[in-house]
Amino acid sequence: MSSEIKVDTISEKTSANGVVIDGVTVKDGAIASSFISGLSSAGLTKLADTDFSGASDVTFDSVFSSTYRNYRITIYTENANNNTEFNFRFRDGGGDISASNYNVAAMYGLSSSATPFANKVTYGQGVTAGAIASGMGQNTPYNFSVDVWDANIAHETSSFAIGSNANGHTFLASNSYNAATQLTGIKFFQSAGNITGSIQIYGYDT
Amino acid sequence: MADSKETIKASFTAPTHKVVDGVQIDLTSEEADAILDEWTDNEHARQVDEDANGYKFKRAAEYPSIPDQLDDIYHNGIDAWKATIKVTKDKYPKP
Repeated sequence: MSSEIKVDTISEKTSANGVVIDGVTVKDGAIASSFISGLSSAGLTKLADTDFSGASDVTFDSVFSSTYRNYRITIYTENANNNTEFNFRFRDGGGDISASNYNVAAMYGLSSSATPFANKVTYGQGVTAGAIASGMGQNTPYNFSVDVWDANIAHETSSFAIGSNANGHTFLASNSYNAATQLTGIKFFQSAGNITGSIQIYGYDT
Repeated sequence: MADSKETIKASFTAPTHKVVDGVQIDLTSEEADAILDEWTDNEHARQVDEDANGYKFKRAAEYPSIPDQLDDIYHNGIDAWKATIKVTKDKYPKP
């Protein structure tokens, strides 16, 4: 036999204690995080936040660790030269990793084209840097969101970038770093020219 | 046709600094020149590739969508479709 209680409001009797319903504490309009499975490790934690102007490259050292398995990177960038790529190289204790271990498939979709995703403009296996976007216009604002998975775990690290620019073009890029390396950092740079913008790196678990 | 590496290198604004962990660090003249050389090599390779393959991407971006091409064939026939495609092919000729 089931039963039901219908009331308009349940309020805490003792201030600061909240209300307990079958072991779950409701306090000040929210459920205590300790009662939500996985919540303590969910969400994004900002690890780095850098603005830069006219820089040749932007490096983050010791940003990947065993604390977080995965990372979200948000990027705003403008580049000084036309028809360039926005690239990255991972880092470990020895500095930038430029070995031929990057596999890349990057493409863009033009808002002005009837066949917007016909362009696979950067691709290859065993290249020396990852790519987030290519065919980029000069002094044009670009925004990207990049997920990097298993960066600090000793097996392959993959990532996926999605972005847009001021003209509404779409940019997609899949990358893998095909070596069992515990990566600790990352460097961003343009294939040619200085860059201006900001980059944030967040850690998260799944 | 691709520019000479000397021309390409001269077109860049020389880098003066990099950013590491939020700190701006001035480049030495040797570091700046090494970066300029890398930019030059990258841009020269891009121009060489553009000369050889750029027509493919320009054509691909300008062709009508596949549904529109099928519609063109259905309503107007193969010869009319070929005439439509030829406009783009002629605009971006194979080198």
